[in-house]
Amino acid sequence: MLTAGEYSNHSWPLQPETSLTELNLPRVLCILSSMLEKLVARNEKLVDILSQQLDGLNCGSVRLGNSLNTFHGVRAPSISIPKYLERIYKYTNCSPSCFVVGYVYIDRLTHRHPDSLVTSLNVHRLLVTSVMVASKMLDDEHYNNAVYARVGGVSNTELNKLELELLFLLDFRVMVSSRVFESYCFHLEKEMVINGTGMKIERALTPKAMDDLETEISVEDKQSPSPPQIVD
Amino acid sequence: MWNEESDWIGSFDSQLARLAECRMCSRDRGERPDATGMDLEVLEVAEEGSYGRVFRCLDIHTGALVTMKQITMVRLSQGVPAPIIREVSLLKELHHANIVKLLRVGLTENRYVNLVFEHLDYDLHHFIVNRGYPKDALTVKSFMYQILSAVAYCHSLKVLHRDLKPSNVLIDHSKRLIKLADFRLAGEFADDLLYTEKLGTSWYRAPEILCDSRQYSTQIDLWSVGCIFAEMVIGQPLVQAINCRDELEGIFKLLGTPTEETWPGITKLMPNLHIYYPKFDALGLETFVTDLEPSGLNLLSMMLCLDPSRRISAEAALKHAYFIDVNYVSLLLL
Repeated sequence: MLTAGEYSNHSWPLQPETSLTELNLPRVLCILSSMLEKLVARNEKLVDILSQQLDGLNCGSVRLGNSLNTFHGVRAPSISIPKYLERIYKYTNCSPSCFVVGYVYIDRLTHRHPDSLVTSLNVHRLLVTSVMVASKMLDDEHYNNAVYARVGGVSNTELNKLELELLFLLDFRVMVSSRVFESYCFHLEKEMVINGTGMKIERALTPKAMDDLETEISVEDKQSPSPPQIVD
Repeated sequence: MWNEESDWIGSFDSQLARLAECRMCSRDRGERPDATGMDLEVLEVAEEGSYGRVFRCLDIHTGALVTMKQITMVRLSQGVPAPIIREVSLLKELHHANIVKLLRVGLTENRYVNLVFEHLDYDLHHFIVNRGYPKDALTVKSFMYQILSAVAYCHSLKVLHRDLKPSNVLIDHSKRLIKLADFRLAGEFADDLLYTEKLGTSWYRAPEILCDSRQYSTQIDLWSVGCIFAEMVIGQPLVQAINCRDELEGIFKLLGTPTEETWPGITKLMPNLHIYYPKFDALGLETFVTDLEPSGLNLLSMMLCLDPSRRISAEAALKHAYFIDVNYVSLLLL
């Protein structure tokens, strides 16, 4: 399950010091992980400040909206956001556009449910679920939930539940037009310029070639990748 | 598009202000709407679909007839089937008089996703087969105009239907109103988009897809509309074959085996074209589609054009001379 803990040395093929940019990975992963890390850090600081203020007023603890409760883990997973995004990309073969569209879904969630925050307790589950739904929307050929569950470190049953939760929280509004997609790409790039890294995102809304794969491969299929387990 | 107030990665202060407005110490929001009961009385099982059952129901609150598609998530490994997500998300965005209305979506027992649609009497396939097809030329014209209106609307939003056929065209008999349904294979298109599935029912599938092209656009829907048009006039599918190869052969017999002159790029798309298919001379649409006025036949030939780049668009088709005597006022009032 996706809980606190490290990858065992034998199970993770990359050296810890290898950065996303050194690998042949889409630039969107680097941009997105940077932004999400900042967002999570800011939100957690926010919760701390509010907790302190409420403690001072003897109002009890901070009670944020429960919209994202289903995505909450007991503890924050030890795997970093960049490593987690890299893992999803590496083992699911989804197109880079799926990460931008997944980001759109998370953005829509936070606007539809402004009392709920993206934190270290829910960001990983939100990511794997939103990227998986994006892949179902964008890619004519995609892996099924069982593969995403294995890659994401959650059970198949839990991921199915998270998928339904995401769809209903978004009122099934998961269509992203080319215009909206382009504006989010521009926004992500602008954010990187502000931070001193002028990166351009891969624009093509095209599914990656998956000639050697069947549609909807199950984890038992010999052709499906066998990602290392996320261990406690 | 992004300003400091609405931006989810906006300034720290705006986040703080936004959270302060929320009722953090009050009770959290209730369950999502339609999460369990759908408030429907099931009248009958209309059909067994590929993803579950279709019910004819009565809305307890309004007394209106509705159609409920119950999608069973039988395969644990699959979750919500991708075509269902596509269909629901598209129908949430598409608002047109000639596109079926999705009224609401619900969930029961975390096992069934229920899609509640407005109820229509029957589909065009049923109309053609069981009602002796629309012999009235004006009915054909009205139906065609409405189908093209819906398709043009979809294309204006960069949406391809990708599975147009008579059974996906619903009819409100009393109003003589047409509505497109079943957007499970639909999706947004882009000029450089490569599609990787063989989509649609082969009798209504465009030749470029039958030729294994993975690059196609709005023209595929127009081919399907042309096939529907012909079927409404003659009362049966124009070309009926058991597989893609036979379907292509039937099309080539009808319209002639393509050459680089008639379809530029065909030899690159199908290098073995003349090995697999004899060089047929076109029999011509007029030999099969006999009961159609000249302007209708002209429109049909523009839809059933082998070369996708020369195929008429939905928008242009609506302006065709064939529709000059359609009662636009009555169509607008539908």
